[in-house]
Amino acid sequence: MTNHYIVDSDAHYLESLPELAEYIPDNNPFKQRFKRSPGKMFPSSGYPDHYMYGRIQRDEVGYLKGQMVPEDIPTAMEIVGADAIVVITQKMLAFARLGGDDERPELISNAYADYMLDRVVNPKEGIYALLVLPYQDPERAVELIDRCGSEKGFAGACMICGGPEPPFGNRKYDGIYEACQDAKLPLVFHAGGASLDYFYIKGYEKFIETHTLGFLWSNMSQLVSIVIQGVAEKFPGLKIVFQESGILYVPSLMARLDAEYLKRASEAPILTKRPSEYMSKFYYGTQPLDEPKSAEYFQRAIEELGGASQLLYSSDYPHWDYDPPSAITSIPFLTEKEKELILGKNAQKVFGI
Amino acid sequence: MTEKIKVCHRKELELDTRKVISAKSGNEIGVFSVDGKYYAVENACPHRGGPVCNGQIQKEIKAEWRGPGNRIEETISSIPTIACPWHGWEFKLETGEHIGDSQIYVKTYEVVVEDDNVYVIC
Ligand code: FES
Repeated sequence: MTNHYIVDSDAHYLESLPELAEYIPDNNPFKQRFKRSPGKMFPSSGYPDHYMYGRIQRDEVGYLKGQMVPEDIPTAMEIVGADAIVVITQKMLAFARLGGDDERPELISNAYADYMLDRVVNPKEGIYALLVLPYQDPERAVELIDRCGSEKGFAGACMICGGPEPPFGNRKYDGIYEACQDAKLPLVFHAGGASLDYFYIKGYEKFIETHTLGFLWSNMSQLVSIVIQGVAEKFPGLKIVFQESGILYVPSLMARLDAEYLKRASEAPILTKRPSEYMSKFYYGTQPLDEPKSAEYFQRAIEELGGASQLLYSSDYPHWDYDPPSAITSIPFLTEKEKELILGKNAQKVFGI
Repeated sequence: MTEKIKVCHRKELELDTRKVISAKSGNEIGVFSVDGKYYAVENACPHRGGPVCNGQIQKEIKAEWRGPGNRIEETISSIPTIACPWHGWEFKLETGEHIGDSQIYVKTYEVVVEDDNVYVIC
């Protein structure tokens, strides 16, 4: 165990829809629907067993119990060894699969915000959540930021990357970026499990294949849109974080985007520098940490994406592929100072916690 | 040692817009007349060595943004550029800078007009 102050910048809270239903207005039909048919309200991934048919055996909290209660958070912190934790939703990872229905996202985002404030977050104990935004209706998303963004228990806002249409670089979302910038709320773009099914539907046969591709596609597709459409240029005060796709895709995407940009700069005249220069100012959650064979390559790649100052340790607990802090402390080339930054200091700065 | 190479009569360049000449060093140099101004750049693209001076001359596209919710307006500026025909890297004729990264540039040369003849100093 390490002596560093550890902030887990991305863990999940498996919310119960019947409990969230208590926070939906009484006259809204979804109050009943969330209570009576919770399993049908938000699509799950539809995959075979995440836990590989009994091979992964963790049932302290998590999928095996199906949902969490607020008391599970301190347990999760103890298991991970975190001094502070930033949790986000489970159900809303499936936002993209709701298609044109923008009522459920708005309802659950608001109910979730009220529930988390009422029952879960506790800044004194280091327990924070992210305000998950119903990006499908940007005006309502801004209303949610105005209503709850200043609550200390919300360390930032969150948009789920699992296939928004149009993608997040579109001006449709400008109001959200402006509101986050004004409220000094960091904005976390989180890979969405919902997108995995795209590969599943297309015929990939094993979870190992779709899980590899889905998370990468989820974040890479939104990163490309955000960078090329100049979100960082238009909202220079906005802190941008990408979570849950590992980190090695970042330098690869930087190089690819730079190559494209040098050939087609006239298509992105809003940019005043190379795509990689914007990307090196974004923050990246570390989980699921890549495990390259070569430490030299890993070191060089971290430098390329902006260095240790841009990385936030995240566990993704209680998900099957969670990373304990030892994923960071065991990296041979990191200095103690760099480990300290990645494990907690960067997150404290970004999230103001 | 600088070399002063005669390119052609001023009128000829104005008519054709461009001439590609060879310096003693063997380097090719493109000389251009755009909107009454003269430019000269080396005919070797810093990307993969393509014949940049054979490329299309146009004006740089600029972006204007009027605040959140507005489309990024793209407009054609008055800055002349040339795009390398191999992969499209685009350079400002005046400075030789790549429009997307000013650290990358094609070499530019001074152009002088004497007695209605155009010369490149290289
Ligand atoms: S060689 Fe000029 S753009 Fe590739």
